[in-house]
Amino acid sequence: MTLTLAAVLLSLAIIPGFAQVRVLRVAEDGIRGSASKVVMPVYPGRSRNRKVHGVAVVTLEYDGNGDVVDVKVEESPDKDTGRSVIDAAQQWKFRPSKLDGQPAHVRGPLTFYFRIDKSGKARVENPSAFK
Amino acid sequence: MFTRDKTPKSRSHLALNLTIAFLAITFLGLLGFDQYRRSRPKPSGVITKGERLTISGLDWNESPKTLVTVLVERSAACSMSSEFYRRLQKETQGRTDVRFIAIFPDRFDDINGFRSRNGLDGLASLQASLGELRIPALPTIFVVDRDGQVLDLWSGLLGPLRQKEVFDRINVSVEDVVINSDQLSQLKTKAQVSIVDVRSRDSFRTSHLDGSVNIPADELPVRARDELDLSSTVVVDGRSADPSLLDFAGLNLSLSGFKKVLILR
Repeated sequence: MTLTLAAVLLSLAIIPGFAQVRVLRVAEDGIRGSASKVVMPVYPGRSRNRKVHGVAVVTLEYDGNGDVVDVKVEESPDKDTGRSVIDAAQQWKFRPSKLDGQPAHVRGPLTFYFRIDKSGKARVENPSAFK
Repeated sequence: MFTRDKTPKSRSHLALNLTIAFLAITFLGLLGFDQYRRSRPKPSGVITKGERLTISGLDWNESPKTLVTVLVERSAACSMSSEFYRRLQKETQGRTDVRFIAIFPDRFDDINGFRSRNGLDGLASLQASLGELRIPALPTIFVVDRDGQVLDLWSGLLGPLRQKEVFDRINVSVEDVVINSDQLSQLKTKAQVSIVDVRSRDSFRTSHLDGSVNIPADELPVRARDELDLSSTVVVDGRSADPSLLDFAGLNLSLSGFKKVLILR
């Protein structure tokens, strides 16, 4: 009996889609549009001193409660700026989303610009599309 | 080698095993049927290339070719394409071999508003129900011959490559949006050029053109205006990219306000 039960459980586990979290993929406006708490990354001191600048893009996923469950750096000027974006993104909160009436995970990109102006002042900005 | 145990305990175990197996098979069967039902091709019911089309109030015989676009007043995608329609209207004006007609499912007072807001006053228009039109998406544009046969059909927002297909289909000569490496070298000597590689980061890391920046196609709407010079000619390096990806990239760059977009092949 134990073997049969194990086989049934195994078959359920390998059926694609069964018991799998449904993830809704959205563009950045979808992610930003459902955010209820936004935290901007800080410019890491070491990156600022080295005049490291550029774009950072992460892929963020939040769960059915609107809590961030995963942040992955896709691109960043250096490791410290990437870490700073992860730290900030993990504090974001979202309005829960539903798919076919069920709470759904939502996944999408977030973009930030680490900029240093001519006077040496460093700042982190949202893309102009979201200013 | 094997002996059958006929004790009451083993019989109950066997019955339980059979029940579990039966339930599992039934469950899997239902799941499989559901998957089959979902994956079964559904009758499309939309206009397809090659079919004969009838639209009330439209006589295909009045012109060798009729270019028809279906527009909805409230559709943002339709308004976004208005520059392309203005060009089509201009290029077909006064021609006897092709005419350009817009069909609106909306009421006529809405149609007039849409036309005047988008600089399409004077565009021949007709009203027909969406059910009769059977279009796959908005906006949709198709070419029909004298017999009512659909010669070609494009749906959704069109990028530079697919817009050129439409112009080619009605024999309108427009400047080529595709350039080669030699033309790019010449262009660099006389204009300010931004080269963007719209493939994935991994593909970009593997190989890319010197001086190009990598913005994956789906990130263009957010990043293009911040990272590319709006006044420059933007060249999309598409030598190893899928044409649909290039068209999507060209469309997004145009919608972001870039006036001159070329595709490097």
